[in-house]
Amino acid sequence: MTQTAERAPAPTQVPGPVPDEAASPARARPVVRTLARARHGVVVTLAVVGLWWLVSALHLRSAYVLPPPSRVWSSAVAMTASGELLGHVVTSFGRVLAGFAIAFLLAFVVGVLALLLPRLYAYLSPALDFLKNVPPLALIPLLILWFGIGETPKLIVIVLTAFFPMSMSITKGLRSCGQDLLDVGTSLHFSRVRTFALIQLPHALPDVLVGMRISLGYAWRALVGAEMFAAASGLGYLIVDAGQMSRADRVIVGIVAIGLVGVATDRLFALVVRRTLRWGIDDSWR
Amino acid sequence: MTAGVEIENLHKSFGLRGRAVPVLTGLDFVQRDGITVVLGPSGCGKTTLLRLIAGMEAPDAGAVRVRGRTGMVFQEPRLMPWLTAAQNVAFGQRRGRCDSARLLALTGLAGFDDALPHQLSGGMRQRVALARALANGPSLVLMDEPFAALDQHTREGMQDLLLDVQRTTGMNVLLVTHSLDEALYLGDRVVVLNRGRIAADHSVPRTFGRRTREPDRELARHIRTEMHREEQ
Repeated sequence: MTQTAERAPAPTQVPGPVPDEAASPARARPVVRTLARARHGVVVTLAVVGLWWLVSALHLRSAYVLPPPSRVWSSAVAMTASGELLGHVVTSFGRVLAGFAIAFLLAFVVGVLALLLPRLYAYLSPALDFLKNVPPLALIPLLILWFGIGETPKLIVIVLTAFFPMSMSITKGLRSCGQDLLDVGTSLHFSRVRTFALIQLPHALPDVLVGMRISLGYAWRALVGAEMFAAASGLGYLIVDAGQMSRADRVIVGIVAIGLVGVATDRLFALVVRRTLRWGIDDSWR
Repeated sequence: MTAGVEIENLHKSFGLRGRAVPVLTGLDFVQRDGITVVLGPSGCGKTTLLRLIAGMEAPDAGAVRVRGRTGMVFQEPRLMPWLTAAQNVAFGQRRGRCDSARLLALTGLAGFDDALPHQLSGGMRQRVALARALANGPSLVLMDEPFAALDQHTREGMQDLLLDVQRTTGMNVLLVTHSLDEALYLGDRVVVLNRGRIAADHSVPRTFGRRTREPDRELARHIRTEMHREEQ
């Protein structure tokens, strides 16, 4: 944290970081920082692929169970060239985004309810606690029974998975605003709405965004489960279908695609958050 | 500017482990122009008095009448960490109705408009808080031990800044502190608060209207005795 001397002459701009910080990698240019971080990922990836290749080359596992990297690569190239992989990615991405958006809206409403109407929230809270501890996948048979085999059950599984981390985080953020900041609003004669909009909501923003980021990851993880039942497209369907056809190479392509899209989404989200939050909490978003 | 606080027979107590602990017990007070300092030991009800005047607490009995706009400076700066200094100064004001740059310059922070609170020192943050309190053109600024958390050097600088700002704007100030030296340096009037009531009320004499950090020893001894007598 940069502290400026009390009697320093008025500068023409906000004081910058001290030289020690400027020289540290944390303060390096974004491109250099990204490349430095990518280097670690590349090393780990090469190590894993190398080990995988070695196991395949030495025939420690049969190619039926563990296809060599070359075969998986060929499948990936073929699936990409035909547009099949992109189709699955787009379908899954759409489902995740739709489920995530619905979950966010619900979580935000619950958070606001907990803040503004705590007595009403007290009635809702036990039901939420119960549902929080029920794995969404366990609801799939019931969901299919109630809603059929269309998009609705898949969406509900993603919503239920993404809702709870976000709801807890948003509720915590909104309710944890200290009395010291609320007093400022009172001294300025703020209405309840202005206090919420100008103090409690901005104060909760870091928690809201952390919850969103965690939930986005959870939504991706719920995808396979959601698409396991009666789906005709999507990365989850690709994996399950390939598994039933004993095509381990296609299963691996599906898993890698989920991981890559998930990481890309997470990094994009983190980038947006870093640009949004400027008040000294950047470190938590690297 | 005419100060506008009148307090009659004010009572306030807080619940502690199921019993009511009285903090203010029949307090009467009328604000005069200039800087009034409410002096008293910790826990005597100084902050409660300010919170009642600012409308942050409701009295159990009695009346608090406030005319005109008030601004408030807390013991800590209480700036919104997500806003720049200029945005903090204009916080809660209608768009375009607050000249943040002028107020920051008035409090010695010209050029720091875009600084975030974590980029400022403690004293500078408190200057921003003072500028924020001035943003709505208040006739009275309430200050709750605003310099207590600062080191002596910074504190003295902030006290002189307050006097400069008060002279420039003509605002009235009601400041609470537990420091007798601060009370006698800043106050045109010093009100001693103890056990929930006003124990003494002094006008501070100035030689040729000048303030000095060497307080009138006789007055200081007298006030200290009054505070001590009240505690017995």
